[in-house]
Amino acid sequence: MSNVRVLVVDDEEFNRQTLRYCLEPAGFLIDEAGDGAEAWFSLSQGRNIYDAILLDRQMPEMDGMELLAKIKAQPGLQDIPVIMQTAMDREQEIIDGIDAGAHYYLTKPYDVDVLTSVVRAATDEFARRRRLKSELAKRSGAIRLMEAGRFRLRTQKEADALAVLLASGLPRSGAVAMGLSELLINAVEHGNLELDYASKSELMAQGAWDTVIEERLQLAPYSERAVTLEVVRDGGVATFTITDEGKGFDWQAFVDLTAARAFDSHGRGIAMARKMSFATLTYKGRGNIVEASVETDDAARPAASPSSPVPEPLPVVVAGRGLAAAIEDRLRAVEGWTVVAGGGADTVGGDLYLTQSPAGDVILRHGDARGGVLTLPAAPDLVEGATRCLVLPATMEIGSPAEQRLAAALAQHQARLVPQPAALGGAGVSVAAWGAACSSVNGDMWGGRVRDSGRIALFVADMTGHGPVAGMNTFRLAALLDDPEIAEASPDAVLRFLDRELKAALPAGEYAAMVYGVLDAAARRFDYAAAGVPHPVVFDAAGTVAATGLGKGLPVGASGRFPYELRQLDIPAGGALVMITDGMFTLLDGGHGGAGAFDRFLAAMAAVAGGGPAAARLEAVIAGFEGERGDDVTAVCVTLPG
Amino acid sequence: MKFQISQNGNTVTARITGQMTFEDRGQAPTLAAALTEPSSTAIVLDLSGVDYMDSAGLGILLTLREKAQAKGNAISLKGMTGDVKEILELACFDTLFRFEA
Repeated sequence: MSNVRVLVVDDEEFNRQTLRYCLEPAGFLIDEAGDGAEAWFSLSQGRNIYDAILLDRQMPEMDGMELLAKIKAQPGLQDIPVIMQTAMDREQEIIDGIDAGAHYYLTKPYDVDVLTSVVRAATDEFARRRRLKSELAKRSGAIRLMEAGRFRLRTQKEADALAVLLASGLPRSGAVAMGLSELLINAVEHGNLELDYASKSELMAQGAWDTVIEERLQLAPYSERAVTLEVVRDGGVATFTITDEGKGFDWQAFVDLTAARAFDSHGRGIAMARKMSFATLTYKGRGNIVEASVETDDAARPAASPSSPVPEPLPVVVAGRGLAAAIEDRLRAVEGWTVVAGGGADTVGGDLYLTQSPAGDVILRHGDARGGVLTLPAAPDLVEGATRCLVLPATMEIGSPAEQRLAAALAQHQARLVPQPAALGGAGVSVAAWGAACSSVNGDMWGGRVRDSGRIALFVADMTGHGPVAGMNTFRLAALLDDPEIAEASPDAVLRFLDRELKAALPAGEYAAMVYGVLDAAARRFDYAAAGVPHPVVFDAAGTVAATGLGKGLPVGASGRFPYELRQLDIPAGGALVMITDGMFTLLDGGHGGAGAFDRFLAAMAAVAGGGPAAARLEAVIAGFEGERGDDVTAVCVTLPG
Repeated sequence: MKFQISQNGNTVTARITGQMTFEDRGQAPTLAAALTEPSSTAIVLDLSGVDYMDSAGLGILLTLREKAQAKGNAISLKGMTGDVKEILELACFDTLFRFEA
């Protein structure tokens, strides 16, 4: 199904119909507007509806240039590519349009092939921009600590990955990532692989461009060439020098988008990079070296970032009596909330109330007592990070200055909350666990403890979202799981308790998908309850699936009164129980899960070369996926004695 | 995630397309505001164009449900297929939303 939607803005009904008839068969969804004012209304309905806007220049009410200016001034809309329709000979109009931010041009009468290839080029560019932005959102920005660096790459995929990495520590990181990616890909395609502009036009028209790139990357002498990127960060400026090993590149024609090339479907990357991404851009030598620079925000104060909106009225953080001065000073230094001095530990109020325990830990609780009590070591970074997550979550969004400064302390604390797998095993039972976060702090958690009965309580949980706020919610979950009320409770009762407590504590839309169970190793039985997670699976000693459980259930915290039921799995001697979060499916699918993702997980386990027991297979499946993850991934495997 | 709103009598329908993931959570308030028209009494979310939904996507549905309930509007889901249908069933969302055929 197509989800690429184009807004056609033209006052002539006939033109709108023609564009619709040309573009719909090519898989585009078309919306129409008869003038600029109507188009503006459609665009204001919500962000991210449109992937491109086809804009006629002359219209009554609001004309094309006026609408273009409004779109480019609106943060939620300015990235949408605008394709202007104009006469071929109106050179000044085209130049005005380019200056105003319209980078694609079409002329009437329409040629269907040209029309679709230009619209496709614009929507593809937008999709790439969005993808780079979403990759950026997962970066910690720690790259900003680098003073100088040198990188070698060969492929476009590597170019994108490097562009995102290097841009992540810079202001306007989305634009910088896009610009670096353009320069690097240009160095690969036109530099090392020696494919010129005319061949690209021809190969793109034939739909053979990607294939030819793939072939050349394998073919000598191209296969031996690399692009190098050197970056130096100094004096408030980051300078990137990109060098390829090709014969050179006729760069003069491409540093500006000219009226002559405005109607082509490609060839605007360098000009856009120069205009939108960098402070300076210079080609050197025979065109195989390009130097680009951007300003860094090394001197800027983190709190001044516009990405940290301050809600009204300010939240009130109460520093209770006895709170360490270092902690209170840190809280007072934060803009965005008001710190007031509180009385004793029993006088709870404000949005968040902090006191110190006799043991020296910091105790956090909401002023209205919802969500119980959180106890944290008295470390300023950790307490500030946790407090922000609880009362100013927007300031801890992935990539924000506060997140970059404080996430490490949250991640460290999280690591302390997770048990050592060996401590849960013994008497022939072995526990293995894998956890990997897709961003600075894991939104997944696993855990367990040996109950008084000698049975082993185990859980795997996936909090909504990623990053520090999701990570903070795992602290809360861990604290609730320590509640004496559920120390020996049946798994279904545990989930009912968590559902009730988390519903009260978390904002709407935040919850935990999880499985919680109790393993009786002697009886070789796992009693469990589930809340919307991948099914737990039992493998026999040979690593073959022996039984599949049921992960079905409303996530805890979603309703507050869901009737979780008790389920059972029998485990054969020498067999193993495996529990995973759905992040595993994003690994298997190289990005996103499709229908039957769970079956593909079982197939991957079955296909492990050399076979072996479940723990070894799981290890092999996870080791097979290196690099970027789309989601947090957790897996736990408990193996019983043979 | 993209959405399109249409109104038929007192029923407001949002046709959602693309993926509903963590990256889209910021759009929930916009979508909620667009859905809770003063004159509407029923909200339908048409998910036939959604090809992938993660846990944060489910969270967006819960946020919409909360907003709809606050205005006294009934809310239902329709058109789910494949993986989206699977995850909604796994998460027992039929206990929170009416599933329309």
